[in-house]
Amino acid sequence: MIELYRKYLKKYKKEVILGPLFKLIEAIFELIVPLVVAYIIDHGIKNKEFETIYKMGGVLIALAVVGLCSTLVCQFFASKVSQKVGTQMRKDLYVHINSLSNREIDKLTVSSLQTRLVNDTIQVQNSIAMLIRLAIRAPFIVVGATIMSFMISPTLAIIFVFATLAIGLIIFLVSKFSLPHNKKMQQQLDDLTVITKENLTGARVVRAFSKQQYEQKRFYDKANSLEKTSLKIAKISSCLNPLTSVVVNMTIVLIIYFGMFQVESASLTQGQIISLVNYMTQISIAIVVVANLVVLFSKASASSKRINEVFNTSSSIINGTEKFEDSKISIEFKKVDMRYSDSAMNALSDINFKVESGMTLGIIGGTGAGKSTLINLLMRFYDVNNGEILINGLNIKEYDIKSLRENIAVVHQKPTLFSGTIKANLKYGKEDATEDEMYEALKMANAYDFVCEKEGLETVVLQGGKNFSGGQKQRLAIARALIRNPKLLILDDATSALDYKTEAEVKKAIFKRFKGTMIVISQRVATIKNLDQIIVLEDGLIVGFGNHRDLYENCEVYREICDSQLSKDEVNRDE
Amino acid sequence: MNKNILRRILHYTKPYRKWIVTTIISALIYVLTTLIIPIITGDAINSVVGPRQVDYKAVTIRILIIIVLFVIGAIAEWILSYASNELSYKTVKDMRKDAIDKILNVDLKHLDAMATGDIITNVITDVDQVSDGLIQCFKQFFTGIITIIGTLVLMFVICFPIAIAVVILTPLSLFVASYIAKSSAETFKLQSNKRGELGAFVNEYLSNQSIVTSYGLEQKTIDDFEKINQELDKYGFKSQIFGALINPSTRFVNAIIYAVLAVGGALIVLDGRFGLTIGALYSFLTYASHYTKPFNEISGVIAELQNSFASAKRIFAFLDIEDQSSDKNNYVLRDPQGNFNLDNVSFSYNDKKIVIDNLNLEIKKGTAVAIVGPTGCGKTTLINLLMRFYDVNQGIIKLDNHDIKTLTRNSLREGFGMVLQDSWIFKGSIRDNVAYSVDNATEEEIIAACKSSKVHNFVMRMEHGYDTIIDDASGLSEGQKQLICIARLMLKDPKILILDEATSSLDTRSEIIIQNNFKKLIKGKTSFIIAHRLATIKEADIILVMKNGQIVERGTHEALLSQKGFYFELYNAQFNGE
Repeated sequence: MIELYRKYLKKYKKEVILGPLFKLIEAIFELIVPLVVAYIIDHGIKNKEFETIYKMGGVLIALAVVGLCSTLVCQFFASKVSQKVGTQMRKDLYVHINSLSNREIDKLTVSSLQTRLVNDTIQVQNSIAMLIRLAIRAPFIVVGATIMSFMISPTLAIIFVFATLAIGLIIFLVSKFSLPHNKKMQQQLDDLTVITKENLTGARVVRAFSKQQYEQKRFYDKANSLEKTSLKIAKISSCLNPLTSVVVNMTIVLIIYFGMFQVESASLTQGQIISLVNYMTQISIAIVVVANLVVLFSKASASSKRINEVFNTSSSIINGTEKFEDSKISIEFKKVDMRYSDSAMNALSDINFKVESGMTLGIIGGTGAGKSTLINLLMRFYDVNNGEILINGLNIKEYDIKSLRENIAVVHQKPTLFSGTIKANLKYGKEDATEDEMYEALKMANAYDFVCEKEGLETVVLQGGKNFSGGQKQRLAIARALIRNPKLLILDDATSALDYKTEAEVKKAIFKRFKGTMIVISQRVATIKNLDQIIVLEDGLIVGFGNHRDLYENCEVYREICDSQLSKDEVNRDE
Repeated sequence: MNKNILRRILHYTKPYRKWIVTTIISALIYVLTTLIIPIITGDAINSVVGPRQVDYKAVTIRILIIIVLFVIGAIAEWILSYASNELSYKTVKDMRKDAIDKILNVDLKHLDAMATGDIITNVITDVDQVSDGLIQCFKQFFTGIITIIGTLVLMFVICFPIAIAVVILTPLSLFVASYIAKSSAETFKLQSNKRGELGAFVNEYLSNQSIVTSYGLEQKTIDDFEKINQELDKYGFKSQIFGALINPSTRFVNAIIYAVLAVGGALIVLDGRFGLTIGALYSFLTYASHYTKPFNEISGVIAELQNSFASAKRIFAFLDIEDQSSDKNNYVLRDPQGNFNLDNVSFSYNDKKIVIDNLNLEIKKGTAVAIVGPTGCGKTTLINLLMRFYDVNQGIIKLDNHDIKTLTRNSLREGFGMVLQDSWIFKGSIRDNVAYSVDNATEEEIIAACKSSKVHNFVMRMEHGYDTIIDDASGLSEGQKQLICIARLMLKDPKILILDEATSSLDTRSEIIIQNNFKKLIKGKTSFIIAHRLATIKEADIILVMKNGQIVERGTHEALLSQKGFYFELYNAQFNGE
């Protein structure tokens, strides 16, 4: 946390020092108030000095006014600094995340990154505000009030020290005993959320198997144990206030009791007893603030650890220097091994193949065969563990990643549309695309008709594109890829949600117009059988490489796949 | 409106009346002790005037009384706090139970129309908010009001003029706090909206970082992010300033009141007419802070209560959704055969677009029915109607010559087994997930079902085998999840089968194995099969070709091909790629 503070507060040295100083002025004034009141009682009332009473009243008001002004200065500094730091930190984090490769983002997970970006930064931001506003003030009040009472009566002040320690101990014990239950409660609440979610997403299954009673019991049981845990916490945390007030009241009683002997011996006045009692009240309030601060800062410390973890993660992919400027793309894999960080097994092993520019390559295989991993490597989302990938004869690591990616377009199986309009989504593909180009691309992707049926290019796209069907999303994603006019087009199961008829139309349109290198990944033989070359992948290994006819003759896996999908007639048909 | 909601919340607390009574009694005791202690403390101070003016006995007695009082007070405070927790947790537990009952018994059309996330928020977050509200209401709101009243009474008894001054002055701090709160409410709302927007943005773009990088859009998304971030900065700063104003301002007002009381009190003591003593002045100064504290707290509690009311309103709106019609007195169908008759069936989800239009169909026991057609043509809707997830708008669906509306839902569904396109897995062991379809299934039966659905293969590779705990996000592939759903079906071995894209997530080689096992399973039973890949339905007894809610063709695969109609077109598109 200190590290993060140092980094971001450097720019705001003035505010960080001045803020607490102004706050201290208010705290000092607050400590003077009981003295003034004691003075009113001991001098004003006892000696019947009206003037003293008025004067002291004036002092009280002056203290309040100056106190207010100096606090406001502090609050302003605190708000300004913490907000600016939070904003800057969020930006830095987001920029840093954008420099990471998929390997690191996978590891940190998106939902966790989201929490870090939104919640954790706010947590740290709040801690900075509180650092300036209270971190100095509250302990100062505790110490100051104790010192003031020492000045009034050293013997009585010893009671203060014990009282302060006792309250601190109570807060510590209560939070220590309730903490494990709090964790358990959070877990039970999460479980309850999961059951609720399951009952909503599985509403049909629950009804179909008539499992309502079973589900009801499952939920009731969890709800009951949640209640039990909550009540356990209630039992413990309900002790906090009564115990502290016992300590505070006990202290007051002791002050009066021992105080009366000192008053008798004239070493203490009546007014001073009242101010001692007032100091005790101030201390008890300040201790509660300190306890809250401890909670706040331990939260902020956990948050800043999580933020630093992101900052300390660096991309495993190092950018090359070679600008990609060729007009064609050829690809060669040489003895490539690839393994994801959380996996014990290779996703790809000993991959060797070559695709000349302008050729078409099909990749087929079951789920988990490694098809998409191949694409991840080509896009340099990940780097190989062994071997090398050559683009136009040069190792892919030599290229400037951005210049390479500019020439490649990928359409994924679960295509992503960003919220906005269709036009904006197409512009992601090519920023300066004209409307004509957009319509052209939509036509090629067989998306023109349904786009026109809606509101054309201005049709609104909701988050995740949920106002489009799976097939429509795929076609829009294809259009977005085509508009880039890429030199390498990769269709990663990009037509799986289309019915066969539509898929055929899309394919036909693309083949007619697109002249670059193309890689098509699919589970359907029909989608890839007419391509120039086909790779058959199984469990991360190439088990067949060649064209449809060769593979059908020589590759058993391929033949099984074909037979499972096509009739004899279809296997042999050429188009 | 709020009154109505309050009444309903109170209705929920009815079974826990004894806790309400406990809360009230302990609150009264607690407040009473906190009010009396300062008076007696003041009395004690009065007995300590100066050298040789100390009444030891009086002080000691008062101190003993104070000790007894604060011990009683502490106990009462603990009971108050615990009882209000007890009351609140018990109440919201009942609310949650009602909510899950609602989820389990409501018509699916209502659930389908709502976002899952919203309902979860209802059951979890909103109920928690109500719980907080209830606790605060009893712990702070209630005691706050008693304290204010008690303090007022005591102050007037002790010294009339100062009491008047306090009554007039204290609302000032309240006024200041509420003025700031009111004028900042809008800014706070804007701030939390912006936070939400930022979260949504981050989630959307980081989930799709591959797209962002492959299109080289990093800088653009950073700029977009920074735009939202800067707006958040603006509203965040304003909110912080407002938030930071409240405490100092009320503290300032309280300090002024304190000064006025100290001076005024001192003058009145000197004046002597009202019999105010120095000890009583001490009590007053204590009261003044006692008196303003509940005011400050109550303004916070009121905001909290408003949130709770808003939450309760949402919960009740959900609970008020009509349950599905009761089927208690309906006929319990035993041993369904699987003869279906659909007479003039029409259906639409929203009255706008007719999804099924005047459909007539007769299906004899043991028929394998395949349903094909382009997306959105009403295939899945038909399933919804057959299992009575939805009721038809017009016409009648009969099973074994009973209108399905006259059967109990459970006995109707008992005959069915189904695998749907979206695989549903719940958090639990693999064994429990498979055995979900049959109560009391034996281990042998479960393993047999898993073997014929290929689940056994991958389960055996797991460290804990069938005891492995899985959930929707536990790293099973879509294919594996689908296989578990298929195992459920195999275990149940139902009379009527529904296979809605049941093998869509499998690779074709696994699909073949499963299809062969399905073939054995459906022998002699009525089955409905929806499939994208037409190869998987060639052997169906009858193929229904749907288009825009109507069956446009029906017949066997060969017959349909020879018709050279829509089916022929679909089929050729699939296999020729032309």
